[in-house]
Amino acid sequence: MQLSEKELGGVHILLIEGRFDAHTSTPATEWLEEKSASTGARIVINFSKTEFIDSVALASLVSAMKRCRQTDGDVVLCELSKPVKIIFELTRLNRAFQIYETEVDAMVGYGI
Amino acid sequence: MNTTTSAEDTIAQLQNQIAQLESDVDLITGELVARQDELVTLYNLAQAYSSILSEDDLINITLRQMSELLRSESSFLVLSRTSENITTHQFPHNTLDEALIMRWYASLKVHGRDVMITSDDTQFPLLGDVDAIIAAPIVMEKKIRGMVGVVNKKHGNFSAPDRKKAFAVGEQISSQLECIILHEQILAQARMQSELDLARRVQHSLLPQGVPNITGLDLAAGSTSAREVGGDFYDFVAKDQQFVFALGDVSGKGMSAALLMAMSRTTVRNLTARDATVCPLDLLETVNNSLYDDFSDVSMFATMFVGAYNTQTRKVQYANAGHSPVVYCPANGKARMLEATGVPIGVFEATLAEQEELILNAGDVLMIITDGFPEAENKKGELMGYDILFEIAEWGANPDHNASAELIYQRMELAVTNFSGDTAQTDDQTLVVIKGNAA
Repeated sequence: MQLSEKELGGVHILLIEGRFDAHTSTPATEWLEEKSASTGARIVINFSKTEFIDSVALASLVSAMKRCRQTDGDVVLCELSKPVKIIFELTRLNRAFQIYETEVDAMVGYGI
Repeated sequence: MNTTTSAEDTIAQLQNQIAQLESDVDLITGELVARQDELVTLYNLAQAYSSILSEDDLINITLRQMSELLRSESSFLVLSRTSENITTHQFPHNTLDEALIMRWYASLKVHGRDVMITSDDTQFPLLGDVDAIIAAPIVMEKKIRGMVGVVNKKHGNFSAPDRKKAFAVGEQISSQLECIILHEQILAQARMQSELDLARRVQHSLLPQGVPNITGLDLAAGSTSAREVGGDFYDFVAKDQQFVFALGDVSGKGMSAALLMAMSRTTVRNLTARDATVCPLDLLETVNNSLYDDFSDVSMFATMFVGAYNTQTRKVQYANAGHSPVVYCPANGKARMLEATGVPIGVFEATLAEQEELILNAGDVLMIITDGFPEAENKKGELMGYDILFEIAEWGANPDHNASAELIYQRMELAVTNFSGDTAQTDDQTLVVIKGNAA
């Protein structure tokens, strides 16, 4: 798994490349924990290059999303690759997260 | 006359020589006795080491014998298992300032593992009654983890051989401590393993032992944890015309998942025991209400499928909190995935779930599976995927095969074994197979 991060207008954006699962999730989970720890953190996760996601990775996303929402922040998702989209639909977690077609849409969603 | 004087001189010279020789013999004898004492002390130390199993005993014996071996007024030892856990020991007790010992230790660490400290060394502070010290490092796993030393020779000064002896004791106690720590680690691992075995047995006992006989249904179920304990569970509760079946998968693995699994299973069991006619949607909502805080506190969630089958109507009502995959295949038909009807337990304070229903006629197959099956890996790192699940469901629902639920279960197990080969199972694998049969 490879991570590319950037910050635009106070929004933290993370691109996850490869597999995001129990074996590889630690760096992404640590990144999510660090960013979501600040008040009102606004996070975008770009899944365009994510090949696979498992329940451990989903749990870290849910945890970060809940932490952010407690302080009026959020974790939103964009550009879901097919395997990631299927998992979010099957688990109905697509109802839990705000999901955007593109990264630009996600930024617009944050009012950027 | 001259002859007499000469003889007397010779006798006197001889007497002097004898006295000198006697003195030399006394010195040599004294030296021999001292060496013998040292040998006895070293022998005692070696004997004691061979039977010591506790760290405290090792330290106490080393301090006493080292003081005796080097004829010192006192001895001391520093042991640093971690940077926070540093202990000092002395023989006799409280003869040295602990802060001073720590300063010596800090100096020794700066100078590296092979440095010896003596009173000649101006870089090390000697305060109060301390005239001379010798200290050797205690080295474990190639790192300085302590120091052992002596203070003030009782008679005279510490010599070069004394330094060698101190260093030898340092090396000896280092290897002894490594043995003790290894022994403690092995014991701790054995204790942990035995506790895990017990936890595995307890957890196994939470799963149904066998499957119930339900009118109109043929059942098979089983669960294999990736580790000693797992986060999957399933349960069956039958009362009157209603048969409730539930399957859950706590995100994550190991002990934390196992504890939440036990809580989830118990909550489901309590609710169905209280009201056997409870509808799946209400059951999921109540489970979520009960466990939401517990799951949230540890940043985990559980997916859960609950179904209720009516033996009269053959109708299955179900609610599915984020669980996947659930595969349904009508007799002789095409398999399809039953999507979740709500978000997993522990994500929100409400599951946002809906309740769906289907009819389970004779020959129809319903498989509730945990992701350990489709996400099983082979040695190339490939995943088994979903297609094989559909193939097996369709094979089981094909009347030509006349497959029992047990046979469908076994086919799935065989598929995952064939696919994974020698690759270790990475996630818990649980499967409930329900096949409609003639009522």
